[in-house]
Amino acid sequence: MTHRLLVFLSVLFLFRGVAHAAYIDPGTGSMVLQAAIAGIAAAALAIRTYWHRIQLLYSKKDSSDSEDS
Amino acid sequence: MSDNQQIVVDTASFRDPSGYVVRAEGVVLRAVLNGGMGEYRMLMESGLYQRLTDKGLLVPHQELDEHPLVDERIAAVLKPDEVPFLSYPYEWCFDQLRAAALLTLRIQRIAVGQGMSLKDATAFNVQFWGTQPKFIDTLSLETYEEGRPWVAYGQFCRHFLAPLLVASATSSPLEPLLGKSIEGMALPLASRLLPRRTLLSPGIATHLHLHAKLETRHGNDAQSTRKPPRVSKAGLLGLIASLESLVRKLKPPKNVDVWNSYYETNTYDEEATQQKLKLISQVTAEQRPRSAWDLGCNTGMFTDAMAELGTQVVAMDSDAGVIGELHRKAVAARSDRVLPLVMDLSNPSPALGWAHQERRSLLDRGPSDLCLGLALIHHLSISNNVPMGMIADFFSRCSRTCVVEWVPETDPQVVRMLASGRLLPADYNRNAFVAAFDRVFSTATSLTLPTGRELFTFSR
Repeated sequence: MTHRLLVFLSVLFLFRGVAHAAYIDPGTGSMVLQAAIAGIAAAALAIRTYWHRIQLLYSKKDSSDSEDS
Repeated sequence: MSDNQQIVVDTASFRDPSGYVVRAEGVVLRAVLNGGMGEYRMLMESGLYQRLTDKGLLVPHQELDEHPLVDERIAAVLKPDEVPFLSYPYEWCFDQLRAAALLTLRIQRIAVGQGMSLKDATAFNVQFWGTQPKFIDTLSLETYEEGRPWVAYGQFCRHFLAPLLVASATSSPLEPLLGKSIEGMALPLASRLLPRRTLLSPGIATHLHLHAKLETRHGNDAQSTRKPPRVSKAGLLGLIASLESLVRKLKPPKNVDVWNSYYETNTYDEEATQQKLKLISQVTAEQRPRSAWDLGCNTGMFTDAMAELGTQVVAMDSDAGVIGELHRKAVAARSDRVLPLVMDLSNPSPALGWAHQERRSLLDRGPSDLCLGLALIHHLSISNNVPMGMIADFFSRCSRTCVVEWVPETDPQVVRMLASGRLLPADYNRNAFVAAFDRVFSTATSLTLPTGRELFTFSR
């Protein structure tokens, strides 16, 4: 829950911040946005992976990690 | 294949500078031009091609040593596996578009892991082998440079995310949302159509609402270009994971299934249904059609009968709910022979794109070897006021052999349709029906069912 709230607040913050930058082509919005999302996602992913490892240490289950990665 | 006059450049591929698709004597070939050869070699040599085709995600191809193409820019010619029937996003049900979206994201995730990235993420790059989606544009993969944003992210959101979100929230079929667009759905429109509560979902708020805002704002700026922002590899993978989880969680539109109870409530008795099934199986067994169209397929009972005998069936119905159900059933049965599509026969898919040549009309994708029109004629004639001659003409263009059910004026379904005061068309009678079909088909046999309906088999 706190995680979702954090993401939402970051989004609101970004909404304000990025709007002032000036770019040209229609794809620029997409580029800027994904840079922002990617930043948050990378952090979230790092935390999740870290957390997953800790969980794995304690539960002796086999890793059922995605077959694609 | 030495005669160059037999070669037709497939105009669906002309936008790609790295290669193009041609049809030569019924075989589809993909030419890789010199400019696209580096990326193509990387795809093949990095092991990515092997990995994607092993998993059934990318269409496999053979590289031809000899080919009929004359073009000095060509560096290689590929012969990909044939797509059984070309279909388009505006003909898919929600789950099909979702499957295509997840396929695209999965390919991108695997590709980034192996140093490549999709430069296109249009829904038109996905085709179905039965219920199994595959990516067909082998030349869409380019070298991934760490730090570069995903160029096709905006395209992915327009082609997949926006229509899926709006369809899910408004219970709309996809066709009215995508219409004749070949660029997907505009994000600002999708943003306005979505209910306000979607702002509370971090995924929808960012990938769609904020995206739409930024796109609108930056689309009109006239400043000089700046360096694209940096996106780390972990960030890019996170972005893909976030899209995957958002798409996976979406609920399909709730549908009001007008026809789902059809087989319980209509005039069929069990014996008539069995006789119909027997006849369809018999015709299929005799003719061994490679392809069949089941027009107005409803729950797909007859589609299944044909598919069981090895025929590739395109099952079409105007009710997106029915098609969604049929797709789910086919996925559960792991059927690779049934392709359900949303198709309104009174307004079938047109030819679209540049010079009407990028996306083909329904009839242009035929004819099929066999075509069914069961419990359909009264809908076309009475509900849509299509003259009998035009109905027969349409069927003759769909297939060489058609099984069409005649529903007499006294049939309870027809009586119910007329109860609201609608008039019976002057040509809605058995004689006019037979005469119209006789004009375009050469042979006809008929079987009378216990319900008084008749099954006609017409052949050219």
